[in-house]
Amino acid sequence: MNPQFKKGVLELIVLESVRKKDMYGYELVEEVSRVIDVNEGTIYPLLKRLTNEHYFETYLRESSEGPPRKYYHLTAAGILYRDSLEAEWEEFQTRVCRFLKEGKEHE
Amino acid sequence: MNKETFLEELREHLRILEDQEQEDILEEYAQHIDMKLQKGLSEEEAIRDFGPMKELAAEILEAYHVKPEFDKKKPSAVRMPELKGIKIADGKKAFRKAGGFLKAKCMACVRGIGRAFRWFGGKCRVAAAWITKPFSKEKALKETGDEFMYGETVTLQAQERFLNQGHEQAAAGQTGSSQEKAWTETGIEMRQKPKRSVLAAVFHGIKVTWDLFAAFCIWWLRLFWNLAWLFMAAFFGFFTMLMLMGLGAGVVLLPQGYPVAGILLICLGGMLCFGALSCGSFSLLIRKNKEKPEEISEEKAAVSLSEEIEAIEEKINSEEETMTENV
Repeated sequence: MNPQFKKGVLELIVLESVRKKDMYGYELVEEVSRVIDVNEGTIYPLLKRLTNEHYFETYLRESSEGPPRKYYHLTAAGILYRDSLEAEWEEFQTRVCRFLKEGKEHE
Repeated sequence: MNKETFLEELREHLRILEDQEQEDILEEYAQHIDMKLQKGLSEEEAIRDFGPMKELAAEILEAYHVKPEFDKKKPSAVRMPELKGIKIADGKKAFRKAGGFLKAKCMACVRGIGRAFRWFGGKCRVAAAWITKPFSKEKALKETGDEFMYGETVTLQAQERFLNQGHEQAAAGQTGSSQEKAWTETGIEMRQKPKRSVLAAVFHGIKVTWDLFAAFCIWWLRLFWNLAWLFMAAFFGFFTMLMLMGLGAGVVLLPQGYPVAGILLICLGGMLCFGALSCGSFSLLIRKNKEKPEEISEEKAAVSLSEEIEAIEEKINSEEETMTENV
């Protein structure tokens, strides 16, 4: 898949994943990888940025295996941001689809 | 590449970030690798999934809005934080040194400008004196001529009057006794003596009054000249201050994004121009430090002369009175 497509939509997928359930880094990477094939390294900087912009809150929780894990939780601002991103995505997607459909009908 | 070297290398790339942030990120990656290991993958494989180190570091730094190339270009500046203190001190010293040098240069500049202004003022004063000199001199010469002629007529009239008086008294004497004749003769003699001194005195008096008048005229001229230039200096000074105010306002507004660069330049130019005009006007004021003693002496002389004249006139009057009493 075109990496530019992935980059644009990765933020939305991460936000949606955390909205459903608070997750720690690796869990999130696995979740995202289910949807799109993405370089695992690029998820962490994105999480960092969204945390710095106060869309995520983090907290530590003990785990049965290994050290405590850092969990990400979506804030109110994060929910608003996710919704706006989703609306943008819907509009973008429908427009592109309509345009492609028009092209097919002309043929 | 194993986990330790990967984390160390990544840390090198992220030196620009705060220590706490570095730790946070490295911990995440360490955990990620651990998870992969638990899944049965090798360290090598886990690290290979992250992609090229440079791109990874660049993406992390991008999340902090840091230029990815910053760390590469100036690694030494960040790599030796213990040298920072010394460097700052050195910089401060250098800055102070530069400031001192700049200050000295500025002072020299200001002094030079001051000297230039003084020189210009001096030249202007000389020029003003040169311009006014022939003007006042010519006037003085012209008026002395008039006065001189006037003075001559006056003296002539006075001579005639005295002569007539003398004749009348002589005629009276002819009709009167010899004693009276003698008196009149003595009177005429007496009168002829002061006649010369009176003429001289009248002439002298006119000359003195003329001198006083000329001094008076010059004094008024200078007063008007000085007042005019003082007014001009104040006027231009006012505009200089106005321009300075504009300049200050411009300097404040310009960094805030107002388009006042042109106005700022106009204000700067206007301030310099009006300042120069004000200084020039002020330097055109005529000060009479050198002329003072001379004037005083002249005045004194005039006063003494007028006193002399008064004394002589009183003498004449008293003589006339005695003459009439005798007659």
